Amino acid sequence: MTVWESIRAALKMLGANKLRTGLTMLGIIIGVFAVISLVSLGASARRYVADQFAAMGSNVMMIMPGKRETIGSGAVVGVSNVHKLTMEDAEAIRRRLPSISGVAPVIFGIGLIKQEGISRNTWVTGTGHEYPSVRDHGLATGQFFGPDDVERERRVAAIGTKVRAELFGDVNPLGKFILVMGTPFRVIGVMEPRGTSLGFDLDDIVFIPVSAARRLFNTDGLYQIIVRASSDEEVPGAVASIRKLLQSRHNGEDDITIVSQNQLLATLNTIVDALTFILAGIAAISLVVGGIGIMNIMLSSVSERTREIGLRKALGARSRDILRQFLVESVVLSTIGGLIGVLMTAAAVVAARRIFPSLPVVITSWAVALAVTFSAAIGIFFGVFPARRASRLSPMDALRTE
Amino acid sequence: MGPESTTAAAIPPWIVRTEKIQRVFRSHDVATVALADATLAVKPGEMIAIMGPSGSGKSTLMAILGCLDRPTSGSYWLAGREVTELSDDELSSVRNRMVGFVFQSFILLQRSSALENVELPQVYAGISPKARRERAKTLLGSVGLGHRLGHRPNELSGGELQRVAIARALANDPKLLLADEPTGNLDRKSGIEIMDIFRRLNLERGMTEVVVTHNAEVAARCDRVIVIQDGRTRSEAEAVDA
Ligand SMILES: Nc1ncnc2c1ncn2[C@@H]1O[C@H](COP(=O)(O)OP(=O)(O)O)[C@@H](O)[C@H]1O
Ligand SMILES: [Mg+2]
Repeated sequence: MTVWESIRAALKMLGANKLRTGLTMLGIIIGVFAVISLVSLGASARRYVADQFAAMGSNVMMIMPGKRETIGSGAVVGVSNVHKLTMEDAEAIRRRLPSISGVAPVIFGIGLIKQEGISRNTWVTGTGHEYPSVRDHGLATGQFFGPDDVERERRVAAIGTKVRAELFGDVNPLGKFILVMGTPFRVIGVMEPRGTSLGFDLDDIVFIPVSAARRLFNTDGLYQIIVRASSDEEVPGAVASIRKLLQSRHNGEDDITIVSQNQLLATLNTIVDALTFILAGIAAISLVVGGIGIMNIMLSSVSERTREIGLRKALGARSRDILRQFLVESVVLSTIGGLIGVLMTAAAVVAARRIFPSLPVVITSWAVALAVTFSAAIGIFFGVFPARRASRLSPMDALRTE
Repeated sequence: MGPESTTAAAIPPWIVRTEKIQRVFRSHDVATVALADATLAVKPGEMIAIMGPSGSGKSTLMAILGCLDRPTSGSYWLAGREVTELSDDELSSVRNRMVGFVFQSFILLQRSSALENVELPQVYAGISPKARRERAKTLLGSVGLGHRLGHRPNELSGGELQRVAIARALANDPKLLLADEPTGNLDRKSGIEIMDIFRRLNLERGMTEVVVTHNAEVAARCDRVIVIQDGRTRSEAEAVDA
């Protein structure tokens, strides 16, 4: 009997009891559906995170005051004597480290913005003139403040598109004054729209020179320094030299945290992957339960068809012919279930794309291949026992059973 | 088929020969002696009837002759070969090619057509689908079922079912045809038709046949009768005299 003939015979047997076949397949269908959709969901989440970070640039690092290194169990090691990050620190990095292409000191907080009776609480970010190039965030109209604006603490501002829309509507904001926490600032630029990143609306920000922000918020410590390395390859070296430089400036204390985008992305991916793995593992359990369903149905099929087995052996079937017949049946059963599960997942993905067009839903091809292979393997694994039982029947005993 | 058929001298005088076959069934520490001593011999081309009361061991003997079962002790030569020493796979091959078996209760695959049922032994002989279909058609035609090829067993009468079973038994051109009460589930008329087929096969094709029957008329038309009682075959001379 050729393989194709065995499959046809198996399909005929399975078709003879459609309800039972369908119910047995359901276990595999649900299992495969769960595995693929959860793995794909994980991949979608990964892509979402990557998209969010792509906005920042992979050669960007953030320096924050305080040591926030986590070790082992996740305990945070705090250093008692924390030095503030200062504008002088930022200046030193800019001047002394050639691997750095741009430095943006950042002070930020929420402040009340007013313009002709319209007021709004929004993020006020004090930064340096290199911010647009460091964050790769250009201007839609006007210009960003320059080095001398920062130096001379000029009251000028570049505003996000959302701020512009809320405060000015269709009016050209350039040259107009806004009150930032009671102090008038002249609008000299409007930023390009950037959307949200990790839940933070990058268009709802007012940028002012860091020197002015320092006075406004009454602080001389920076929230962070954003640094751009001249290339991705420079990032690890830059991290080391920044650490060394700031350590020498902070009386020999290593009291800063440097986070690179790649490192952050890697950490988040690790979390997403772990979650995906756990969820897919749980889903895989349902596949195994489906496999037990197959074993159950194949066992009852063997005992119902004992006479058929006896007859086939009487007519010359060898044990391995019978083994193959039942094994092909269980594999066909589980594989068809797996394929239906894949089709259902594909349909769910199409539906999800319709309903949430912004979500980057992807169907992971390796998950599809794995799920189909796995369901076929389940057919073999859970089919072997019933099939062996069938193949070992003696022809006469099998023929005697009613 | 075998090398023994190449020269007349090599043809064994017996196609079936058994020597003191015993078959004891053991279940739950109870031993049932189904066959105590079955010794018999059948020449090629003979048509033998086996008779005996119910429970005397006829079916047990037929199962052993058909290689469906192994004796507990004793010897069995089929076409000169000691089959009790064969492996399970070799026995499968013997059942497939050497022996045709007809059961009292027909035993056909219910979901398959008459044609597919007749093809089944050829499937296990590795014959191509086209060739076995042709052969099955010819065989069904020869038992008068040329018009019932696509019918399923539940669409056929008892006599027709048994004719499908005979066609199936002949599928791989066996050397020995065994039938265990082939007319036991049939009305008189169908039974006569079935026995006519066996008789014709024996006369026209020289088929060696062993048929279990309760019918003295049927037995009388056979070359020889072997009587079995309490698991013992009576000496053939005795049986012929009886
Ligand atoms: N598989 C078996 N297990 C136990 N006892 C059996 C088995 N097959 C047959 N027997 C017993 O062996 C004896 C002969 O049975 P059988 O050959 O079927 O007789 P017959 O066909 O002549 O009516 C009976 O007593 C029967 O109960
Ligand atoms: Mg019997």
